Amino acid sequence: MIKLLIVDDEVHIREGISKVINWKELDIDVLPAAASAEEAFETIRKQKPDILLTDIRMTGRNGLELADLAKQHDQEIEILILSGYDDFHYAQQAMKKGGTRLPVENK
Amino acid sequence: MLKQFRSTLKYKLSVLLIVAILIPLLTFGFVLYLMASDISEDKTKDAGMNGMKQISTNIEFITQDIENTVIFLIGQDEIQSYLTTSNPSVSQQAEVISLLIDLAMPKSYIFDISIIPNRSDSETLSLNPMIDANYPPLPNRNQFNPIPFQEYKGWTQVHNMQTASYGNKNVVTYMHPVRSIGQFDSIGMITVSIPESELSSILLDNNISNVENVLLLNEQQQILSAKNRDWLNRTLTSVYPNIPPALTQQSGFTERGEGLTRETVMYFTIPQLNWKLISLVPYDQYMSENRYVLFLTIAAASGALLCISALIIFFVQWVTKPLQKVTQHLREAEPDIPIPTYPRKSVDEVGLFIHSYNSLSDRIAILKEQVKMKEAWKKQLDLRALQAQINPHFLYNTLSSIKWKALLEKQDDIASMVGSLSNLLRFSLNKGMEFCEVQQEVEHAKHYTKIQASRVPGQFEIQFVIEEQILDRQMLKLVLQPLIENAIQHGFKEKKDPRYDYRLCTIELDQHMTFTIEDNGVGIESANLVELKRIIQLPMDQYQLEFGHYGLRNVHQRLMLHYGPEAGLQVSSTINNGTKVTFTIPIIEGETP
Repeated sequence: MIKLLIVDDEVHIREGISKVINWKELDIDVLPAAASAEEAFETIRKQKPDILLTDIRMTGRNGLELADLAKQHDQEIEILILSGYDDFHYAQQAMKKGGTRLPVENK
Repeated sequence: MLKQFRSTLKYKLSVLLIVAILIPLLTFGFVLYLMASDISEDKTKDAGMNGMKQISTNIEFITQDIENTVIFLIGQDEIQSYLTTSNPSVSQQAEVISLLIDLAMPKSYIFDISIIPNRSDSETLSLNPMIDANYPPLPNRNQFNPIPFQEYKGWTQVHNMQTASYGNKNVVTYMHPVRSIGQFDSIGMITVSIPESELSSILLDNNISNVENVLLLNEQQQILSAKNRDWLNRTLTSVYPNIPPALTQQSGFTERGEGLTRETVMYFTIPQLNWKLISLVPYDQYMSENRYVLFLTIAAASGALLCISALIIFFVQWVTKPLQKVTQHLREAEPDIPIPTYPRKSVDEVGLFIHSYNSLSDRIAILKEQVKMKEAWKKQLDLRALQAQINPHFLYNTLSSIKWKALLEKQDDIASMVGSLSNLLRFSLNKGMEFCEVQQEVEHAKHYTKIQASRVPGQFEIQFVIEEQILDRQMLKLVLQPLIENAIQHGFKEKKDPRYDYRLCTIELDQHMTFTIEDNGVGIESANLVELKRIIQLPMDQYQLEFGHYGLRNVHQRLMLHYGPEAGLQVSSTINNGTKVTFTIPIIEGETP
């Protein structure tokens, strides 16, 4: 089973994404969603998720920093970035600059 | 340069002061000069008259003495006997001659005394051995009854007496007839001659008088004596043609000539003799005396001019220097640096001006401080208002939260509506991006119609007919949504006709980038359509907002601004049959998406 970690500081969004989509049907195991980058990184170290789905803008460390940390820790990890209303282009630019091309989706 | 200088206060003040001070000074000098002229003239006249009186007295003394001498001689026995005796003896002649010598010797002014007997047998006896006495023609007092030579008593004009011992001599002669004592018969004539040089020396003696150029005239206006010997015996009018003939008074003044050659004519009549003394004084003489006054006036005016100039320079400097300084301060005033003050040195008008200027500087500083404080306060308030505005991130994230919560609650309609609103918001609020792909613009329009449809279900239907090959072309964004809004809302509120309750709106986009938004609404009356076309041309400033059609105007003008005048909206409408709005975005070959 593929392990998915959802990170968002807003409870409705992380709960919504976790529960509304029928992950089981897609053969995906959803790990308990994380509310911050720090919490997410704990889970990444302990449970080694295959896919990281993170919001770009969060209190504390943001989604891009989390993506960097995750890639350093685990080269294999797949990362999806969720962007806010006008972060889309900024996020795309940041991805290109970092040398890693990450898919960015609207929430 | 000169013109510029003339406009300065310095120039005006200087001219004013010079005029105000110099004109009275020069006037005073001129009046003084004229007065001095008059005084000088009077003085010259007085002195001249006194001199002529003196000359007159001297001449009178001589002539009187001569006349007395003649009377004395007539009474002498020697003379009487010589004139009455026929063939007088040599001793008689010698007696007469010795008498004449005795009388004439002490008197230098007697040149000759002659005793002329009427008897033809007697000789004329003279003091000087006579060659020819040249007695002149005698003046006729009565033209019809001329006085014979023997009867004449009086003075002759000048005549040239030829003597053996002294040669020729110009003399004036007194003639007196001699009558016998007792019988009163005319027996002879006594003549006494004065040398003209003697008269001349009296006239020209400057010790006696300060009068120059004096003429002596006899009763017949003939010149008896003058400095110029050629003038002797000529008449006054032949020498001075312009002289007024009427010298009727005993003495007095008259004038001769005009202008610069004007002369004062002084005359004085010697009593008894009726001889006249004439003196001509040129006006130049007074002027030359007045040159001293003139020089004094000019010197005073020059001195005054120097003093005034110095004072004016000082005064004008004193007045204009603060003005210039203040002008310079004001010209060089910088908003950030306080205007420099100027020390106040006096309490007069200039001082008051400086005081006002200094307080102006203070006042400007106070006002500037107030403006600064107000600006700072306003900025602070603006900042707070900005901070109080709702953050778009917050709005967007909240909508996302609502959407996911609705999905959790299985409220898919709500989730879809909120999702559309969220997309609508992101596309609309994305600042700084004027252009987008056609697809994004169409998606945006669809999100909008989705929300509208869920708000008023069953009232309208929107059809999109889009040529797929142009979906990735660039276009101006936020153009379709206001036009759709216009199409579905138009006519709803005004008319409650059930026929128009269901609105069909078609959005067509062909391969030439021509957009057509057509509805089946009530349409627009032609008059209103003309007004609408006018209004959408109005500028989008705050003064024109009241005309409405804000959405149409905005789209129309943005299209024209970005694509030129041909890209503007084309509106056509038939009443009760719907409205059609079209526009075409030009395709630029090789444009970068």
